[in-house]
Amino acid sequence: MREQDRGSFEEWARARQQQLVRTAYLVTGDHHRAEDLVQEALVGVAMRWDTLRDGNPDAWVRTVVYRANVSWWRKHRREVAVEQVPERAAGSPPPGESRMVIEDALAGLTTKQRAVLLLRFLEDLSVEETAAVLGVSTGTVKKQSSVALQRLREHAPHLHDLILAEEAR
Amino acid sequence: MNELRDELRSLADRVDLPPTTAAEGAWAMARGRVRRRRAAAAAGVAAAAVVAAVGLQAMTSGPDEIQPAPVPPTRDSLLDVASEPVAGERLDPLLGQALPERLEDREVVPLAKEPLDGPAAYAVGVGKREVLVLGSDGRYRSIIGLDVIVNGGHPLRSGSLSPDATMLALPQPGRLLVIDLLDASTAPVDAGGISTTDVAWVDEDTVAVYAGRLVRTVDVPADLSDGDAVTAMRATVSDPVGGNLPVTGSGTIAWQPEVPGLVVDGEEVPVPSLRPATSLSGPVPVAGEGWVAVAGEPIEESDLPRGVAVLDTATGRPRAFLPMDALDFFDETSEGSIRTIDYSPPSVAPLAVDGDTTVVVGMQTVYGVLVLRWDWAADELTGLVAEEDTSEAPGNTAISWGAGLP
Repeated sequence: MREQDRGSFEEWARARQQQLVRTAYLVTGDHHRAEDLVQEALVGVAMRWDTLRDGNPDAWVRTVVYRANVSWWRKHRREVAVEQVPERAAGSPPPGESRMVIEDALAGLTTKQRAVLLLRFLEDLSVEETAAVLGVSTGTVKKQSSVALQRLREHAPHLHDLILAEEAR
Repeated sequence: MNELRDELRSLADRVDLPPTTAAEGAWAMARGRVRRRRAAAAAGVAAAAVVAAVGLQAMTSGPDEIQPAPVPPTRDSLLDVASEPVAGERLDPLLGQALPERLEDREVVPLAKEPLDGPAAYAVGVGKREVLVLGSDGRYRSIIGLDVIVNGGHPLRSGSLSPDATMLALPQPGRLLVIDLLDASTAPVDAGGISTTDVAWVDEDTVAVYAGRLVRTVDVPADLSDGDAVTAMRATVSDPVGGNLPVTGSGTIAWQPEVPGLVVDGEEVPVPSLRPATSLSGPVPVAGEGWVAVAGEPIEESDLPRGVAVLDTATGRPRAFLPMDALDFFDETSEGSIRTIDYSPPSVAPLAVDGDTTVVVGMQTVYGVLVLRWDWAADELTGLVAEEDTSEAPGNTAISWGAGLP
């Protein structure tokens, strides 16, 4: 670590921290854990800023956050998939409500399912890339992705067509 | 069109959280960690290590991307690199950031004049086409003009040390090279035309050469003559069930990548819960008396992580499993603190046997490579023996480990 690099690191980190925490929140569903994961990842980035500054530090943080969250869950194993989410009226939600529907549906996923879904469809990673980030097999990614989409389909009926389109990709 | 990803991105953008200060203090915390790590390294003591340096291109090439045949190393290319005399611990925490600094002002001495006095332990890459050997006397020796091949770019296992750590077997493009670390003699090994990517010493005079599903064992003479090809094949085994064939000190067993099970003396023994992860660094397990340690991951869909399994060679049944997540271990290199690894590393490999029931396990993490001792009988991680931050030189680090440590 070179002290003269501190300025460029902190400039990058401050510019990115809010978005990183926001994404981490979607991954974890827990604000405090999201903050902790991002902070730990940023420390890691700082330690290797010489290397990462010209690469893709965002991707590095993302990998650390996703893996750390799945491992956190493995360690604590307290999470139980929510079988029932609050019922909503069938059909399309009123304008502006789709975000809430998806948020509810995400909350109904297990940690790994949520991670796979977000990596595949938010981060736009391939199955292989998702497997590499999470440190699991491609088969696990495919299965978890299928289950996650099925849950979304159940809890957000108006997304049915979108999900079918994604599954067909 | 309103696509699912757009919905998710919109959701991410609209998440309403209070302003974060996650970035504050990150630099200072990182600086503190680096200082502690350097202090631990500076205070560390070496015993025996092999440091293999390879080029980024060679390291990132897969088994099918073999590099052009290299010029065999000669006596003149075997150098000695001076380092601070150290003693005490067997395994070396001096690697990592401290190592390149050591190379800047190295003193060149022919290897043969400074034979290794004890076993070597592991290999780490720091440069291009260069292998560094750190002996128990704390001196580095350098071998240049080599290529080191690593399976799929994973940093674990690029070569193998003989049980007494006096010889190093390195996969080279299209062949195997055996280097006598005591007198600088070398011998290319004719592996029968197979392109080997993994090797393992079976005993003090035998090397197992792996090439996909084909494994051959090769006799290595006690005294190598420079340039003499070793061609004697003691055994050639084409695995009848399509698996890899580790050769152990207690017999021959096969570890199948697709059908979970072991073949012991020709009979398949089911291993219900594990299969080797083909994405791992290599298929070569390490073996103790009556047991073998392999890298694996659950065969069934489950939330179990990948890990290292110890299997009974008589029955094939698992005797212990080290899940590679949520690890707590005693960090000997950092003021004796307890450290936690709370994520599953993408790569893990058993590297060596160290005692009756202890396996030296290497794991690639997002930060680098950790080498831990695992007492499988006690189901306990008994210590961190080395840590290598590979982020400074991504893709050019390889680690192997010598067996038969005193």
